[in-house]
Amino acid sequence: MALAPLYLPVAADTGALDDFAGAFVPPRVDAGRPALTWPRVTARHAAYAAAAAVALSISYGLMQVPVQISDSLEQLLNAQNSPSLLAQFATWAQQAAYLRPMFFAEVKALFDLAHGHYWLVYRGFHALLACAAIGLFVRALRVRSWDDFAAAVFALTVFTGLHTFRGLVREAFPISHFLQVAVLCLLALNLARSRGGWLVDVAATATFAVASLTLESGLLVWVIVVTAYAFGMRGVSGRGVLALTGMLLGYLWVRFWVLSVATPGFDERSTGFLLDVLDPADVEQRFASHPLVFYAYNVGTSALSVLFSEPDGGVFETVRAWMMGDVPPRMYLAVVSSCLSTLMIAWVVVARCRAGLASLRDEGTQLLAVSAAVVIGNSAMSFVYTKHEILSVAGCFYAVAAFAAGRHAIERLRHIAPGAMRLAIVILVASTATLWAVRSVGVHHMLRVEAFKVRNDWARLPPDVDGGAGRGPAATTLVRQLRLDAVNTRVGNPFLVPRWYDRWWGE
Amino acid sequence: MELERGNGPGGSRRALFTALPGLLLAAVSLVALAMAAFGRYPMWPHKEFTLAEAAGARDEAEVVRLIENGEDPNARYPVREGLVFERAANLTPLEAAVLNDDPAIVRQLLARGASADGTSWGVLRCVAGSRVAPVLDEHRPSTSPDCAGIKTPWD
Repeated sequence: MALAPLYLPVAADTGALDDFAGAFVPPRVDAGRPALTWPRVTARHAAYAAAAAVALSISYGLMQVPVQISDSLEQLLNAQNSPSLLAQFATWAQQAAYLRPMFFAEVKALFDLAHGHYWLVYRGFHALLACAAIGLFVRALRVRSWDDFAAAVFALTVFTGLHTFRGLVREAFPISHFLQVAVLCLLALNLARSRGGWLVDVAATATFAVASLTLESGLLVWVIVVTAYAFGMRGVSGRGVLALTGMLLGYLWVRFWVLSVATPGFDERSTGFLLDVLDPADVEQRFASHPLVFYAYNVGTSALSVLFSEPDGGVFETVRAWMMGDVPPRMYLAVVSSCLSTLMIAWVVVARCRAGLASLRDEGTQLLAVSAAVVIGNSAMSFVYTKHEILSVAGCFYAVAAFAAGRHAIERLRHIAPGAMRLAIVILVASTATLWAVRSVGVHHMLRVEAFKVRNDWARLPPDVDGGAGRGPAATTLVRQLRLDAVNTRVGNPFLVPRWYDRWWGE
Repeated sequence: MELERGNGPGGSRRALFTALPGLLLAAVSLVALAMAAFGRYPMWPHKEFTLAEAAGARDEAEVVRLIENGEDPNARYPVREGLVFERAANLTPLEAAVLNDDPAIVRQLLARGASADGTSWGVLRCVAGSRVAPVLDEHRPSTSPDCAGIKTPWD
């Protein structure tokens, strides 16, 4: 919805349309040759086709999940009560610790658009965002050869297999705003890599405006654009970068000075620390006198979580499971796959560093630089508490770095003579790719479990549930309809599948 | 279809091991979507259950849906093998839920008209696990039969 006006400059700039047009230009008709030939399949087409297959299957799973109750029903009831989109925007422009007016305005906009078909509109929008994220991800990689294609397909499994992606598709409040911000950040990368022009600059500023007013992690759009510009990506011009910087300063001024919107405090929510989850009261007791230690822990473990899939939400889950004597295969799968891909990324980073300044404007270096900046920036934003969803943009860009690493590995093999080293690289890359593909399958299992859980949540409400104290008959009608939609949704039963599914793909 | 050449000799072969797992994933996704068109999406197998089977499969929402659609929570229904016992059996929903030691389903059934009184309560209480027993105790009838020598109706 918020992305629609931004599509045109992105599509019009880099030749995506030209590429498709060129693939279907009819050949000259020569005597003895057939008048029609099959269209030429390019590596880019193949990459999009693979992305489409993965995106559509995930979208199918998303459409089986009813609208959830937690963190979602209240938003829907508020949207119903709100007189208009503008009123919703203004009302939620100032909260205690957040500045997210777009968050609530979008819920209202989709609510008004739904005309009673809430599941279809909200889950449909969620599925659309998932497809957009995967499509923009593949587009940002700029596949031009079959080696690029191979690296892109590998990166796609990292993109969908990472635990941060699960957070994007598991929950929606009732819109998955984290997924929306991830889409906008990927759009920013595409804009930065485009041919440029004033339309691209306008699109970049609009992207930042929507993202920053949706969630705080939307500020990463600025990080992406500035880092991309610093490393030679000129899709967004210098003027555009200045405009975005001005907007960022304006955001900070409005937030902290005009509206006095603070940042979340210790008493906000529970968070992991070492082997346990601490309640807000525990966090307050332990760290009130030295909060920097707590913040540093959260930032550090957030970065580690993206790079190594451990710790998880601040808790060293694998270590804890090992100490208890039962480490399910899914933990080995997560940690080993992440370690191997991070090793590949480290390898290409070292290679770039050795190449020195000559490689600074290299495409691979550009992607790595932007990815590193996003991982660092996103981790820094998790200073109060760490959670999969908050790190979702970092996860997306970790997959971008994985593309650069895969590309580097394939390229290096061209220069290595057959032998032990070449075999080692082949084994490293092949096993990493396999582990990530296996990990990606887990998204579907997770969606099925989530659908079952959400449906049960609704079933626990009585059929004559009302809309809550103080709310009118319209709220009651809304709640009962949502309940009926959920209970009548036919979902698979996770208890009927073999138990090893959960051991390998559960959470 | 005419394919583009890989870049350099053996380009496609070199890249194949990197792409193969992801390509398999994409191919399986396509096949799964095609099967979904016939209602057989492999990651979302759906089976039609009787009310007792839904209770035995711990499907709380399906239990609620069937009761709200008019199914009798006190009737006896066939339960396929593997859900409660290794063999097929005829059970009431409450029996299936108690045998699976599922307190949530037991509560739902009792709240929606399933009754356990007299002898039936006694049978259920005697076979109940530690999680379901307290729930049944909340609905204890005035007489509490002895478990010794009790005969279960599904044998």
